[in-house]
Amino acid sequence: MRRALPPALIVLAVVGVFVVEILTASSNGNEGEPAPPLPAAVLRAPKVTLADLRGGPALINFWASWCDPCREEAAELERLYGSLPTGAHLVGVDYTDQEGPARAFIKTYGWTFPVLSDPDGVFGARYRFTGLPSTVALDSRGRIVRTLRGPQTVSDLRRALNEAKRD
Amino acid sequence: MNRKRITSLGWLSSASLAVLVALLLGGCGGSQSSAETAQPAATEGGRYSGGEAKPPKLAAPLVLHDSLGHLVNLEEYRGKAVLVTFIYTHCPDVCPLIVSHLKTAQALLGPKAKRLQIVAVSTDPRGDTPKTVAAFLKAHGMTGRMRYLIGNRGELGRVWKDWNIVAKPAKAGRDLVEHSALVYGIAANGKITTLYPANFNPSQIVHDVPLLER
Repeated sequence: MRRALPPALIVLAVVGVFVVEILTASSNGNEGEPAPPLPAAVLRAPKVTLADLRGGPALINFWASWCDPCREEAAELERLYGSLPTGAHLVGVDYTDQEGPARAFIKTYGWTFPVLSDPDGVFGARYRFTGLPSTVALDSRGRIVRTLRGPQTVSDLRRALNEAKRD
Repeated sequence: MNRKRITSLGWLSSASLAVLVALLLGGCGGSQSSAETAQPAATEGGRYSGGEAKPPKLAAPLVLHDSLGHLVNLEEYRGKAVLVTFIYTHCPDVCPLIVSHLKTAQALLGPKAKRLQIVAVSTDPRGDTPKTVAAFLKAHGMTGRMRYLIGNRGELGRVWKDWNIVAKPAKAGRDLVEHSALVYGIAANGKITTLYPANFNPSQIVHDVPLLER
């Protein structure tokens, strides 16, 4: 008689598939969808709406002051902003954070790009990212092209902008 | 707060590693007090958005003092939906993410958030003190919005064992703790019914709370 697999092994197999899916998946399942609204609260002016991002590729970077990996890419984001191609946009969204530490973070890294505030995370939740930092690339019509997970380099960000420009 | 970074792991890798560690060592399938199986996503016909514990099992005892010195017994929350998670205040990535998503879930629930109780249990008896917990909760806007249970190693160790939780110093740094990083959804009947990995979507909680509180 054929013995059934021990439940623990079945669980491990399921877990393995699940973890691999997390590790290799590059999709949030929202590619091609219009980007959800951005929060109205502003940490660093000017205020930016989705309408302001139309007409060129855009990157929306979700971060928090308590997020250590966010510090790894903070300088890269400012470098990118300093050399943004004409028509491209970059906006940061501070996610489930406190205003004081968030402002200190912006000052520490010398950010000059617009940053919005989403203290309860209700706006970010609609983008369906699963960790911080996450950078969402939009095409010129405001549709989501891709979500980059984890800290990014200037090259990664430029590549994402180029990809979004082509769409 | 003096946090040490996990320098060799990026964001996603550390979150996934925590899930893997949790699921392999502490989470599903091996314990009398944990779910015996969990499916990572609601299958067709499944009710919950989170992973379902099959079968649901009565949650292990959980009696500890919170960071304010009040004695908390999980039993007192019968009749409510409860989320239990195991975190520590010096955690650089997974724990803040879990807490931020729980905060978002509360915000999305609106007035219904009153019907949800969030309980965090420390995995760091040395680092989690009333002072550090108060600072952590304040930093994450969760003061008064969740109970954070602490204790000495003996007290916490008994709970970790009952819940099959891994919590041990990480090799990456003295202040870091390797720990199971699931969120357990407990229904009104006191049974662990749903499981969420560290990178859950807040909307999953919003979807499941009305079902858990039945």
